[in-house]
Amino acid sequence: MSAAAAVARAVPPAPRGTLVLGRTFLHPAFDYLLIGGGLSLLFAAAVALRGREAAGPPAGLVLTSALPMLIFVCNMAHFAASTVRLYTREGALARNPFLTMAFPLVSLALVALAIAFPEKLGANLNALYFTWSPYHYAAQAYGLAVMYCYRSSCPLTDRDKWRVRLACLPPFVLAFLSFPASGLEWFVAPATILDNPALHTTRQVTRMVLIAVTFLAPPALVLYFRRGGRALPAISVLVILANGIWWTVLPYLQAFVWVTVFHGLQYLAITSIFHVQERMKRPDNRGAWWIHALWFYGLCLGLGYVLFQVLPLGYEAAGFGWAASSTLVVAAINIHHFIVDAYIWRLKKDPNYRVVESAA
Amino acid sequence: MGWVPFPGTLTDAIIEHLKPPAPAPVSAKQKGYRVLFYLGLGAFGLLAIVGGARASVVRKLPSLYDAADIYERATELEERGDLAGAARELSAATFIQPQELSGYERLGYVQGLAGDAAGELATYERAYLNNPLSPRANMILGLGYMRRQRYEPASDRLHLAVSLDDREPMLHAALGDLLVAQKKYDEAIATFDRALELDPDESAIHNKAAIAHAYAGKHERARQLFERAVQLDPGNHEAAGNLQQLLTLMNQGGQ
Repeated sequence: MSAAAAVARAVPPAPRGTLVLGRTFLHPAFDYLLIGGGLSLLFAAAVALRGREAAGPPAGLVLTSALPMLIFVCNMAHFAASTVRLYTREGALARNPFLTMAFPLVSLALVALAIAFPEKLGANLNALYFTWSPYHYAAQAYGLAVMYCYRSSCPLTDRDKWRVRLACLPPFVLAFLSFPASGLEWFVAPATILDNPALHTTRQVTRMVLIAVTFLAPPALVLYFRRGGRALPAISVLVILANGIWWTVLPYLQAFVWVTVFHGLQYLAITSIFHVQERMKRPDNRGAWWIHALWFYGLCLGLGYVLFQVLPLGYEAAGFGWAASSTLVVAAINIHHFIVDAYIWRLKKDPNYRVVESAA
Repeated sequence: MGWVPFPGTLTDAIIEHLKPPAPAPVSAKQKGYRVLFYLGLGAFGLLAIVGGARASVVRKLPSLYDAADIYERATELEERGDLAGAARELSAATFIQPQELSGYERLGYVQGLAGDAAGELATYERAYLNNPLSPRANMILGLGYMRRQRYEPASDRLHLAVSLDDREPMLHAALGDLLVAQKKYDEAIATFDRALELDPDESAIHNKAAIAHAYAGKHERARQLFERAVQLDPGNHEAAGNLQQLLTLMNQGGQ
C-alpha cells in the first residue's frame, strides 16, 4: 500500500451532495437553533407574522419589555465570556502574556483617557466600536462556518477559506456604508456626503448591491463547493445567512440591540461547549459536565454585571463624567472582547482544534 | 555548596536527585508582565469597589439599570442649577453619540438657559451636520435660526424638514411658528391646519394654531382653538393664559 493510499484511508471522505446536516456538537436542534442562528430567524419570522395581526401586541413589543433581562443574561454575559475563557484556558498566561497580563491595565488606562477627553478620544473610541462590531459578527460567522466544516470532514483549502470569508463580509461592508456615526460617516461628515451628489449616489447604489450580495453569497458558496464535488454542512450556510439577515432586515437600532442578543446566545453556547469539553478531558476532572457549564456561565454573568453595571459607576466615582463613563466603558468592553476573541478562537496549533475534531 | 559525604559516589547522586528542582528563572520581561497584571487587577478591583459604593449611594444595585441613560446626571446637575456641569455632560454625550438628537436638544436648551446664544446655535448646527437627512435635526436648527431672527436659513431648514417627513405634525407646527414670526399669518394658519389634521388631539398644536388665528384677527376661531387646547390638556397653562388674554381683548373690543 502506498503512502498516498494510507493517507487517503486515514482521512474521512468529504461528504458529497449539496448540503449535509454535518457533525454537530450537542444535538442538531441545539446547534442549528442556538449556534447556527436558527432561533433568530424564527424570532424575525414571528415578529413579521405578529405584526400583520390586528389583535394582540406585536411579538417584538412583548420581547422589548424583557429586553433588559435578555441583555443581562445574553449580551453582558457573552462579553464577559471571552475574558473568562481567556483566563480559564490551560497555559493562558504563558501563551498570551501581553493579552492576559498587560492588556487589562492598558485597557483601563485608555478608557480613562477617552472619558477624560470625550470630544477628541471618546468620540473616536465609540466610532471604532460601532465600526468594528459588524466586522466582528462577520468574523464570528466565518469562524463558526469553518469550524463546522472541519468538524464535518469537509476539508478547506486556503482558497476555500477565502471564499467563505468573502461570503461573510457583505453585511459588514453594508453596515460600514450605512450606519450613522460609524464606518464611512466616521471619516466623512454626513453633510459632506450629502453635499457631494456623486458620493451620495454611489453610496446608495452600493448599499442596494450589497443587500443583494448578502443574500446571494450563501447559495453561491454552496454552488462553489458542489461544483468541486463537496457538500457544505448546512449549519455553516445558516450561520452566514443569519448574520446577513440580522444586518439587512432589521433597522439600524434594532439590529444593534437584537443582533447582540442573538450573537451573545450563539457565543455563549459555543464557548460553554469548548469550556466543558476541555474540562471533561482533564485527567483530574471530577465534576459533571453541567457543573462546569453552570460554573462557567455563573462567572460570565457575574463578570458581565460588574463590567457593565458597576465599572461605569466606578469611573464616575473617580471624578469622571457620567455620560462619557457610561457610554465609553461599554465601547471599551466591546473592543476588548473583539481583540481577545481574535486570540482565543485560533485553531492552528491550538487546543481548540482538539475540541473541534472531538466527538460530542 | 554544603558538606557532602563521599563526594562523587552514589550518595552524591541520590542527594542531587532529592534536591527540589530549581525554579525556572523568571525573565525581566515576565516580571514586568506580572507587575502590570497586578496593577491592572488592583485598578479594576478599586474601580469595582468605588463603583459598588457609588451604586449604594445612588441606589442602583442590585437592580438592572439602564446604563444608556446618559442624560441622567445632566438633568440632576441642571436641577441643582449647575448649568456648566450639565452642559459638560451633554456636550460629551453629543460628541460620543452624534446620531442621538436628544442630546443636542438638551444641550442647546441648557446653553440657552446659561445665556450662551452662540454655543446654542453651534450645537444645533452640529446636530444638522451630523444628521443632515433627519427631519428633527433640520427642525432643531431651523428653530434655532428662528429664535435669532435669521428667517431665511430657518425657512430653508424647516421646509426641508417638512418635505423629509410630511406625516409628522410637530414639523408642520414648527414651520407654522416660523410663519407667525414672519407675520405670514394666512400661510401659518394653513400649516397649522395640516398639523391638526395629522394630530387632532395635540394640545400644544391647538395653542399654536390659536395664536396664528389671533394675530390674523380671527378671534372667534382663536378662542375655540384655545378652549380645545385647554380641554385636551388642562395642565397647558400657556393655552389657559392665552385664552384669558384673548377673552379680555375680545371683551374690550366688544367682540
